[in-house]
Amino acid sequence: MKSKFRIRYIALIAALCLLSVTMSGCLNINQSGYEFKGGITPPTVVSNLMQNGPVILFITQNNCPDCEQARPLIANLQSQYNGTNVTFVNFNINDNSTSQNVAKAYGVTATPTTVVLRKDGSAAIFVGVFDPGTVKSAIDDARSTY
Amino acid sequence: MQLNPDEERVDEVAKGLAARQEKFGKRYCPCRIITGDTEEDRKIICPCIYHEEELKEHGMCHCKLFITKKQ
Repeated sequence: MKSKFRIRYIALIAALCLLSVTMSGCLNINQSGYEFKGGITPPTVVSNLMQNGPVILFITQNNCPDCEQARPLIANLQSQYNGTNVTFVNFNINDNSTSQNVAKAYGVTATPTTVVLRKDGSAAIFVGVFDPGTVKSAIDDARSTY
Repeated sequence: MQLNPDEERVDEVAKGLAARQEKFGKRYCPCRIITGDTEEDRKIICPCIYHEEELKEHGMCHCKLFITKKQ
């Protein structure tokens, strides 16, 4: 009787573990606090860059104090990935319509917005001044898809 | 809510608001994107419609001009 109960208990725990793994896989959520969302078609300018490796979009605009605050953070991350297959691209929406189209494609409503793209086009989107450690984890995650 | 006691931040945001007032005729939040749709953009005239929720959630608005009032 006791062993029957034990087997049921183990089966229940195993089922819960399986469910948890499956759920996190479906939603692409991990414990680092970012989420890759699919269903966004990258604009051509971005998809061309995605051929060789992950792409990081840094979307800013003029007169945005947080954009200036985040600029050295993105520069620092960029220097950490020098010589790798990671591409960093700055888009200032005041510069041209291409930047505006990229911002629109990723539903950007506030700046700075940093977008990390995986090979399948799914995107982790960070609005505001980001935590460099979290973005770095997302970039490493994206690299693992290539 | 109250103004951010960080004067440098307030100054930066004020400059952004002034630049937008000059260019667009309205004090649009400097960290939000102007769509060109007058009705839609009305939402981001400072203080924007998002500020209350942001103050509740993060203790400050996205531009960090306003913060939750300290008791």
